[in-house]
Amino acid sequence: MAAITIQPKAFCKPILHAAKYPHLAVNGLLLAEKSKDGSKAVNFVDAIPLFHGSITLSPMLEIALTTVEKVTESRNLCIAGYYQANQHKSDSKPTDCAQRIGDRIAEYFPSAYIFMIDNSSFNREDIHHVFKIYRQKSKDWDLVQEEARLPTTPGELVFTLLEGKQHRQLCDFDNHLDDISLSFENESLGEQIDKLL
Amino acid sequence: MGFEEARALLRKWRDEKERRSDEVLDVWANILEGKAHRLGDETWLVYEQVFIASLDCNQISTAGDCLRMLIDKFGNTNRVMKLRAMKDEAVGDFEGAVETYERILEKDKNDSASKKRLIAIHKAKNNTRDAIDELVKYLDVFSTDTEAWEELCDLYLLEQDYSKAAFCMEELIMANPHNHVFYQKYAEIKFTEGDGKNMEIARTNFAKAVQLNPGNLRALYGFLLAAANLVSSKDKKNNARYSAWAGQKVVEFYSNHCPQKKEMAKKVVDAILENLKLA
Repeated sequence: MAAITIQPKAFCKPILHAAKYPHLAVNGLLLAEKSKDGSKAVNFVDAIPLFHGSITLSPMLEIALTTVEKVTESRNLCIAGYYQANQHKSDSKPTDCAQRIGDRIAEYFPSAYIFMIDNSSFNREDIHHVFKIYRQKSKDWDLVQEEARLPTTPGELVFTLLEGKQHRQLCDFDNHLDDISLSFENESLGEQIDKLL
Repeated sequence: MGFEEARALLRKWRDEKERRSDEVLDVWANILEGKAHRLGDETWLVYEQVFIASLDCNQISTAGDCLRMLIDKFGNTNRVMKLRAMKDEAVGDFEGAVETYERILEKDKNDSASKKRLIAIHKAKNNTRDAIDELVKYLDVFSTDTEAWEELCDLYLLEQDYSKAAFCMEELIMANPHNHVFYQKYAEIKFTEGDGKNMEIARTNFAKAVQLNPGNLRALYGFLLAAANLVSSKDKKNNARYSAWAGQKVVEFYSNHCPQKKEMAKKVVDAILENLKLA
């Protein structure tokens, strides 16, 4: 059984977030089901896009983490991972900031992962390699070798959404802070994704 | 969307310097192209805008079409030469681009646009340090260039050099003392730097941002967090008061603007204030 399963919403939302702000770094949180039998397998079911542009400043990150914790409590999920796309096309290494956030998540969810978006895999052929996944080994974050289980036809799914300009509808925590009527849970986008399955 | 609406939208994005390149191309392709002659004075600004948007979206042939129109109209002015060089950058010919910018600078050593493009090329090559060094030299000469100070701040943040990033914001605040966003970003950087003195400076500047714009939710949350962080280290009574006030204001804000999320906001504020009791 795969150690990591990525469900459609958890797969698509980070990619749409990166596509909405192609010239900026973006980051967000990954939500998983609470582990039932103490198993280390993680099933990522959704993602919450957080920031674009300045992603390294702490105050809004603190607020976002506290807010998402409260929101996930009511959905019986937990924060199990973090994703980031660096600003530069060729740079997909986890930054210090990414590692620190990963450390913080791992305090509460020991099987936490960091997903770095590989900007150069942003095409139909390579999209299933778009996430470079890291797991914490003692203090460092190492690249995970085994394959994550992805949704079927991930390329088809994501590119249908991109061609339908769904990335423009995506709302991150930054957008919410600018206009609090916008929901960073992106419920209607989630429905669009479900409809395509 | 009609012609006038499309034209107004492109103007709005130009004025607000919004980078919405794929939307610009949609508006151009679906509404304005073929009717460009009706744009009057704005025609050439729109061609330039569509040109840059095309480069952003890797639509090199559309970029070429726009460039041809601009060359026919204006010839090889510095501004048009800069656009030619940007097209070289977009296809990865940095050497060719650098040559063009240096040629422009030979004729006019104060051409700031070319200097900024040379710095952008360092960014494109992921040479953050070189970009910073050149931008610092640029700002020695063009010290009132707001966009350049903002760019330098972001470059320092990439390098996690928070004190130099903060310095950039100080320059911006001096030149723009009524801009609430600058106080807020300065406060965020000071908060991130951490340690007692910086946290107090963060709290003061978040407060200033709220004073200038009570609708700045980031500043309100920032003030709440900074005061909460200071309760354990100094002036317990006042900081506790400030954080309680800020918490109340946040909940009020949600109550007034988005009541369905008020409960969520209350839980967040309670969680932050709860941590105070443990401190």
